[in-house]
Amino acid sequence: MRLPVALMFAAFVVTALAQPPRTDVHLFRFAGVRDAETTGAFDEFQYALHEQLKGLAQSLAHVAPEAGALKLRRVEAPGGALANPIDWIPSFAAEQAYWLNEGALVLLSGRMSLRPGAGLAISSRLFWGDIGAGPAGMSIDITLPLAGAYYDASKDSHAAAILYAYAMHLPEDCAREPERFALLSAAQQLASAVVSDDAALGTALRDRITRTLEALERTPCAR
Amino acid sequence: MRALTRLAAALIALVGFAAGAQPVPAGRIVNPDEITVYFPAFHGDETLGRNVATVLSLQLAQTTRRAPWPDNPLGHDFGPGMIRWSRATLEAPTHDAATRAAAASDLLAQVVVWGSAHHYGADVVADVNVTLPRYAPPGRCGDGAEPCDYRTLNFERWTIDHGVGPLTVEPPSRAFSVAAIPLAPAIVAAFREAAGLPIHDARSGGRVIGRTGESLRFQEFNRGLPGAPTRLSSGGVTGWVRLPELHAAGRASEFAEMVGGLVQTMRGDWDGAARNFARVVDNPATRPPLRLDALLLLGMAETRGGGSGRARFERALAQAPYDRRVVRYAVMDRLASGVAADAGYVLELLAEKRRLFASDDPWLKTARATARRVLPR
Repeated sequence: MRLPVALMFAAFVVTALAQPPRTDVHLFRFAGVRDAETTGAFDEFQYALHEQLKGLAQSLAHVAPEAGALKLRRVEAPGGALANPIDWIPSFAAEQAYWLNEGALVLLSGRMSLRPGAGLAISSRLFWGDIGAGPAGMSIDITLPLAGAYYDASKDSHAAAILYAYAMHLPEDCAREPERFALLSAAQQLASAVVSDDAALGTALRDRITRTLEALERTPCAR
Repeated sequence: MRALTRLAAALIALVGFAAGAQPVPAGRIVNPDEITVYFPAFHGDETLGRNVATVLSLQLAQTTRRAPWPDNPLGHDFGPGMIRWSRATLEAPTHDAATRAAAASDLLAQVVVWGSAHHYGADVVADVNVTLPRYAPPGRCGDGAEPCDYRTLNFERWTIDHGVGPLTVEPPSRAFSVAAIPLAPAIVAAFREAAGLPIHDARSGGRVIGRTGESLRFQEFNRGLPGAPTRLSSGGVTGWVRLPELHAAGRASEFAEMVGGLVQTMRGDWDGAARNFARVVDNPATRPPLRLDALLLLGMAETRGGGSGRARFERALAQAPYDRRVVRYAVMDRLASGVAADAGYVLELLAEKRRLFASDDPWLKTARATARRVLPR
């Protein structure tokens, strides 16, 4: 039996509105984390992200109360270790399917590498699903040294990307528009902060958010 | 709260005098309320975290004042300020826990500085967070979860009223971080080893005669001298403490000026606040989200201090054109002037930025009504 299109659309809208907001960043195992040094460093990276998300959620409580639930969630394999993304999200299609089915806001995977003479670096892939920007617009890659001088840049770049994803997945509702602007504006400021640490990364992130804000401003929302 | 029983307190300001009961001359600021800044021990490495917190509190103390000095022709009295420490960390490293700790009945702090010192790669960084707890004003006291505010003047809350009801803005952020401080390796080594900062017998250095403990009483600041030596008493020892350079790359943290600016704002010291916020804005280490807050607070301090903060608000609007907090501050500045042309600008700005606000936003409604009241009939 085929449902009328209007009924299908209405069912989709009702389902979408009834769904809880996506607030969890699903963390997978990072490649290259294999010995005591890299495990310790990865724990520090996790701690920094965890603290940043917690602080961000609290500081944005006045503009986006539901953002208070933003958090890092470990995806665990049997036995409690972090799940290997090769087993869970080995392809772009698998990432899309996992993202759709598991209610994640962002899938966070990546690798840690040792750069000769320059210490550890951490590369993250943040997949945030379909935001209407095509396959290339569904994720961002962030690579930064794992060093004190880049601590803020690491926190701010990940936080900007996560806030951007959260804002883009808010329900299409004019009443939520001020919240979307506030979240994107906060993400824009965080991305701007990264420019002084890594110009290419910070500029790419900031420009993406700025283009989104400008497009949002140009698009009328009937109240 | 048991930890608070171990609290120690020190008077920030040395220059003080009684406000007296005489009529207050026009333009004179007399703040009867005490401002308390609370430093719980930082999370992470206990000794290291405690010493980092002590240095930060000393840096902060040097940025505040009770009255203009050496000249104070109007006789301003910005009121007492207190710094309180605890050897205990917050129950959790969160703004909510900081708010709960601040609200303890024997503390009621206006500012909580908390954080952690922890490894990141091969380095150790100090994460510094600031929470400004919210208290219920006297009129709304007792009908909510917020504890009652004992203060009578809340200078950080900017209110204007042109006869259509009060229009108010709160501080731009009540929960924020300053740039993390990658600690110099020498600092990490020294601070892990010693329970407190060395107290010397001379301003320029000399013998170590003791170490700072939980109780510090400041006696003299010398911010302009190398090492910014502070004369203080702690644990029965009086001497000089020199402030070490915390940052591995020697960069000055914006922490002391930002929190010092907030403390001076809460005391009504507009000149002192503006000087502090200007340093935050000009500091290359300041991250853009905090620079935006500092710009707004700088503009407010300049306008409320009798000058014009307009250039600051215009810069903030250019930096963050989609931030409704910026719009609010820019509107307050224009409406505070009471000039018709400014009211016209406000109506245009609010029309342009209306999508940043909920359609039934009460602040927006009052702002429009205020602007229309200022316009000539």
